[in-house]
Amino acid sequence: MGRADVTGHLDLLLLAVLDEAPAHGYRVIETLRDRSGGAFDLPEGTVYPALHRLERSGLLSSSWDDSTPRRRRVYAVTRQGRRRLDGRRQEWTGFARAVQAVIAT
Amino acid sequence: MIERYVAEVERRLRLHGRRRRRVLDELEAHLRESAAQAGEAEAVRRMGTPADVAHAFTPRLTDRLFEQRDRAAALLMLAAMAASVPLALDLHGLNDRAGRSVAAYALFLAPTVAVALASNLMVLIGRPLGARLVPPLVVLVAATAAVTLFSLPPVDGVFAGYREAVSAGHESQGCGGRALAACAADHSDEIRINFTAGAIVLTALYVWAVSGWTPAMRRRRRELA
Repeated sequence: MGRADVTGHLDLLLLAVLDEAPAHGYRVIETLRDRSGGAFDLPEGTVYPALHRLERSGLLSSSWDDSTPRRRRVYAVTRQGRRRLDGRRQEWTGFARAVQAVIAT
Repeated sequence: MIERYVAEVERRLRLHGRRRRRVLDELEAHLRESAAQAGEAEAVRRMGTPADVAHAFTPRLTDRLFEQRDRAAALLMLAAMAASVPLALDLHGLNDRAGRSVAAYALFLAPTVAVALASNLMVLIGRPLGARLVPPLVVLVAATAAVTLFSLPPVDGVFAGYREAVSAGHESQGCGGRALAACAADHSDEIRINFTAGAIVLTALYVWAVSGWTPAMRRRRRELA
């Protein structure tokens, strides 16, 4: 899957990662990379604008975490974000099922 | 290297105030975290060029407008309610001349207006309550629309007073050479129907803008489930 395809689904991926637990941007990027086996290795600068956009849309909330030596901005999914994630997950599952049905030999 | 990188992003960044400061602080925190694992050169390489990063934080005008559609819809609804005040005062004045009171109608409308105002203001200041008030607002607007369209009490009294006042010649603007009673009946029907249709369309737009809900979305979700 090309990079353009991934960025089109970036919102879904970010919401899914943060739904498991609140995290800062660096951790989110690491999780995306690790869980996809390196397939989702995006330029890290593209993730923060997406996180900010999701927050402005009310799907994420964030706050500074000063408890560690290095100050970090931690993101978490809101209730509205969880609803959006559920909807997008359903859409993706349906889409993937349909594609598989067509391309299966 | 990280300081030079962040300074370059800062030079190109088209954001201001707290948002600008936050973006720069987050990027620097990320780079330092990344550098602790893989070195500064690799951290900077993974982030992307300063130009690309700065550009990614500058959304297109259409995207910004679309993101603010809920606030735009709230402002539109507030403006529509404000624009309705002269008509409301006119109706009150004409009913007064006809010896009728609009208090019952005002009381009937009050919950709808109150919920609409509360929802609009909460949406404008970014509170979730604004969206949570949308379902009761839809119910109230639907009830008000039904009562107004079918001319049920207390609406019937208000428009009866309007027709009496116009028929008595207190307000004959737009009647030309027509019989006042017929003109009054036409005008009162126009007001009822046009304002109700406007309220329904505006509410539907508000529902979409604030909650993103459409009937097609509901059907699609049922199909995927």
